Amino acid sequence: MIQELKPVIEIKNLGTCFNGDWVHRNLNLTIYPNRIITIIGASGCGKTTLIREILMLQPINEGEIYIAGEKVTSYDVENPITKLKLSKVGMMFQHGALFSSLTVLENVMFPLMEYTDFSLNTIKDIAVLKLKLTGLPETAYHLQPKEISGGMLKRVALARTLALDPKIIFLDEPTAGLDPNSADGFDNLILSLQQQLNLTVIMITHDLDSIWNISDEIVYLGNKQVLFHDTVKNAANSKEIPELYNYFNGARGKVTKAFYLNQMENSK
Amino acid sequence: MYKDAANQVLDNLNSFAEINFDATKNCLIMEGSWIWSTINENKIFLPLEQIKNSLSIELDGSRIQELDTTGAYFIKKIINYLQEHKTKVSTVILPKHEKDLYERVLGNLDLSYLPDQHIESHGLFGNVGKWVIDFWSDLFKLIAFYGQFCINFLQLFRNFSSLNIQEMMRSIEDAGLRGLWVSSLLCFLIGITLAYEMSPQFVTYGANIYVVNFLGIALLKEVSPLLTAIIIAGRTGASITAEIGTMKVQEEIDAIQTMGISPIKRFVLPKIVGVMIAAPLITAIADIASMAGGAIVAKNSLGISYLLFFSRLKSYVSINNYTCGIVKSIAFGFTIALIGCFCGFNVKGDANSIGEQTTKSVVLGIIFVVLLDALFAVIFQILGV
Repeated sequence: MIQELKPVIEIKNLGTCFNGDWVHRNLNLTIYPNRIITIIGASGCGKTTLIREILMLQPINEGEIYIAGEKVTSYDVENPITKLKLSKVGMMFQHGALFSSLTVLENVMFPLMEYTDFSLNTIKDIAVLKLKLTGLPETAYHLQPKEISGGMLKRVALARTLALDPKIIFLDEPTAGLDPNSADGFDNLILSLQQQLNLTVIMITHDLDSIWNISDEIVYLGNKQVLFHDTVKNAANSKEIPELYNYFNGARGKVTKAFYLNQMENSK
Repeated sequence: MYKDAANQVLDNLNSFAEINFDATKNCLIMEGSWIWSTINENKIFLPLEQIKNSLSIELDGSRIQELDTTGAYFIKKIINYLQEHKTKVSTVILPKHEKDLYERVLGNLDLSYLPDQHIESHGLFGNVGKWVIDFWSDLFKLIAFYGQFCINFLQLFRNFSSLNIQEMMRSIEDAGLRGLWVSSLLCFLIGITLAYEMSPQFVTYGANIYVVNFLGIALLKEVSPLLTAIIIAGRTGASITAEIGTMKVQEEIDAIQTMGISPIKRFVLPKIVGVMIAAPLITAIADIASMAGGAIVAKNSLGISYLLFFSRLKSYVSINNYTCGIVKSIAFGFTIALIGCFCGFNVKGDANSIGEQTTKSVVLGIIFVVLLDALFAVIFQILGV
């Protein structure tokens, strides 16, 4: 792939060790902006750990991580440099991780209140704007997170992730636990927001529909390293790695693959 | 804009958002980065006040370096502000990329809707009334919970093996073994303090030896059981509430119920029985510690030897004092564990609720212990012990 832009994330020779077991060893990954990258791999291969490391939630044992050319080194969140770096990335956790004691609107207002000195009304306006961008019905704004459905919860979590206009967002299983219609709606939302706001989206998912629907690139983690990094179509047709081949051509994968390849053909 | 200056300095890569009025061209010129970290809300509206008697104006943002949704929001806000002051914005010029974002994000968004949160206000009397109603409903719920516990407790006699021994032992260990040193230490210190404070009074009347009677009754019957109960309420009561509350939030209680197992039998019964066993045990040890504290002061301040102290204790302080203290501690342990479990089950699915109920568990636990203590004083008086 020819890349004309500067990479947003660069990982060099990353090594992570948990109680003597290496989760990552000599892992290299370069991510370029304005695209949707999906990290896939078997359960337990360290997908979430990798994201946690980029977000400084997990210390690394070896190697270097760069976000927009700046090295990620500090783990002290009160450090202004760390704060600055963290304000440029957003993370949507698997279960939303919304603050249960705050309302939906207050959840989205929270990062703005912490980081900015805008007036309360402005912050409210901006939070409403983000919620509208994610398509959450207005009736849900003053409800508690426990009072809204799973699909709405994901939308609020995404709105909160977008509160500080990050350039890079991480999504951990964004469509897990959603019904097919909601999952489809959420996929389209991610795609439209990525295009509207020029985001770099890095997501972890096991949802084959999401992968085919919105992903530009696939990163396949296995054997403690990145084994494959290319477009979805190339990943689905690659026979180099048996596990990856099975992923897209196994009993479940082949139906989805046939459907989307057919769709691609028709749209040509 | 960044809240603190330290962050502001760090963001020197981006220039601040600026807006200036060019009267010759009848145009508002926007420059710099229009992103959340570089916009000063108070400054960007100042140049707008210079615009007077102009019906139409151009918004030139061609020199904007960077725009995000917050910046787009402020451009929209400027347009709204100008419209309110009867100035129409004829065109908005933005670099292509920024224009796309501006139109995509704000073109279809109407910011006029800003829902207000409906906050219920009852006034002073309303609040007092609400508090009273809540109190009564809590009390009835507690009685109902006590009833459920009693039913399960009585069933225990029919089938003792249904009691979860492992859970009970954990409860005994937590309330007993781990709380032992702190309650013993406190009682030891209270023994020292009481003896030390009272010794001048006894010396005045030449009744040094009566310090033994005083300490025997006060410590064994009242202070040790009460202090131990307060420690149990603070440690075990709170931990029981937090544990059951977290289980409730994580739907573990519901899971147990769907398996056809009573959560009261599985979680509440072993905890309450465990605390009822642990409380008298640590009270007994706290009694010894407090008497030891008293004896040390009696020897050093009043010249009463250890041998004399304990022989006097044996002959003049009735064993009933000790028994009363132990009986009370069983009741205290039961009350604290019952309230702890009750508050745990009252947790509603958020993090705040766990904190609220834990506080409530400790406060109610201590209040009920003191009330029970008063009740016991009357009962023991009537029984003549």
